[in-house]
Amino acid sequence: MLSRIAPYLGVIALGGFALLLPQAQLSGQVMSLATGAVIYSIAAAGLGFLWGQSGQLTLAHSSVFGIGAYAAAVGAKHFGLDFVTAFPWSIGLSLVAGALIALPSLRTSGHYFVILTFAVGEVITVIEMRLESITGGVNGITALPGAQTLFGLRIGGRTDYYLVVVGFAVVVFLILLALIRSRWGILLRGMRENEDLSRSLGVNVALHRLIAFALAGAVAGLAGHLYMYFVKSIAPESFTSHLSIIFLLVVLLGGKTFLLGPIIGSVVYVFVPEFLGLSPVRSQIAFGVILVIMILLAPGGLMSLPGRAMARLRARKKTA
Amino acid sequence: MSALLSTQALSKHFDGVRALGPVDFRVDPGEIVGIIGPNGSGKTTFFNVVTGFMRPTAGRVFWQGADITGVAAHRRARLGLVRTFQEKMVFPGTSVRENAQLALIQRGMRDLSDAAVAPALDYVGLPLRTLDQQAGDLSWGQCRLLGMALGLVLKPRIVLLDEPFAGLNRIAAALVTTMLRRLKHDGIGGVIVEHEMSLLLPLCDRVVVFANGQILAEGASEEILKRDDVRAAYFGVETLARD
Repeated sequence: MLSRIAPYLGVIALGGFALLLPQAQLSGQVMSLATGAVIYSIAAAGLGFLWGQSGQLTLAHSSVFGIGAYAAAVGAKHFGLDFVTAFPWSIGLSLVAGALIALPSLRTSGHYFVILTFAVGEVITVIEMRLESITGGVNGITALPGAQTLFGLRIGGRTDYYLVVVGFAVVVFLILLALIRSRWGILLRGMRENEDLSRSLGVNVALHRLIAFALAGAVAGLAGHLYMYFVKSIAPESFTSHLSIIFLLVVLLGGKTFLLGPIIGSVVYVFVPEFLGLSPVRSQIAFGVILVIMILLAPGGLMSLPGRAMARLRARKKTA
Repeated sequence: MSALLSTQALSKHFDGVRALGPVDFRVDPGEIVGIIGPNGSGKTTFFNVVTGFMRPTAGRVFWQGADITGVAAHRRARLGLVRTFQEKMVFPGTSVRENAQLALIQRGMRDLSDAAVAPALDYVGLPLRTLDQQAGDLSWGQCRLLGMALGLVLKPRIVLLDEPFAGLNRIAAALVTTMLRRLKHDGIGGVIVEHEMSLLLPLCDRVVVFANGQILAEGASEEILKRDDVRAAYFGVETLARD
């Protein structure tokens, strides 16, 4: 019984630790970085789930993240929606967008599909630029919805918002964990490992892939919503394929098959350049190098290193 | 008796080149049919078209008399028409346990415990100690056995086996032979593509010979190899039988 609930307790404990972080009297800048890291980790967790569990990679994930953000911004600016009432729109539209992006995968696969998602992402960016009356065009939208409330509690300052974001992250990671450990998770991993065999065993690969993309889209949309209420000003250039590459890097850094991989990845991605004082250009070069090293030496990501070390130790003990 | 699985003028062309057909084929319930033929004679293409992994250029596939030509591969599997693969036999990056659990899920089983998984492995003679192993780390022979176990978990009416003896040592081949005999005993039909005649022929009720994408001959196992046209197509010589 304990072994079954231990992973859930682990996620809750990690969330609890993150919630205690403001007690350390950290600077406002650190709290902002932490909020950004948690939002990125949620978005990357959607991609990590899709890639790590079902084996499908998309370069349009940033665009779906952007759709969630735009839904929140447009809702706030043009329709008077607030943090809570805009939520169904952010998640719903991103869910639909995620599923739509999956449609070409029914006809194509592998590298061709990834290139196609890149093209779809670029098209979405162009649409965001052209729909000026709604999206604000190239300049984007600055939404200043004012102080928000959640379950009757006022989300006042930076720290309050950080706590809200962590709360959402815990819920998202718990849901993803439950899905990974579910019967559906087994089917998805089967599709990842051997699509033809899955089909020969009666798995409706197309349907499950569509659902997985929709779910990843919904998670990205939720993160996009949180991002919009964090930065309060968005523009199409924030959601280009460059951001998808960053999500991909975050997932790879942590380990795509590990639920908590995106958390490790996003913390490294957000905090390391700050602590090392790297300029944006230098940090890009550094992450390029890190990415190459990771792919060559630890393709399973940072989360895979303890397991690999243990396996080596066991092998050494056996041969000794 | 109506055929469990049959095809009518089934053919498949690739860029205008005929790889298969027209083929009229039938398997009765519980019957084990062997398919032999030289490489490139259309055996695997036939499997792919019959199981819905490829669309036929022309012709029809029937399941218990109903036309299933346009039915998706996963739906055919749910009908009870299950296949194995020559190469991609298992889910390599997951444990043997999870491989079997996936098949159990597809059969609609709620219980995915080791006790539920065990009979599937036992049926094909795969040891239970492999449960925690990555399927990709199994030996070639064990992979074959696991691949067959996955298909058989679904309780198929008929199973199409693509070269089940390929690359197996004698012990693994003996395990597969035992498993195939159990299939027959349990009333599960089979279509087996195989080059290893000495292993295949004793298992089959009937043998079908493919050549150039068409059925060249069919008949009882003991008779079929005596035919000169079969020996010419399969071995490339016409006089072998007389020598």
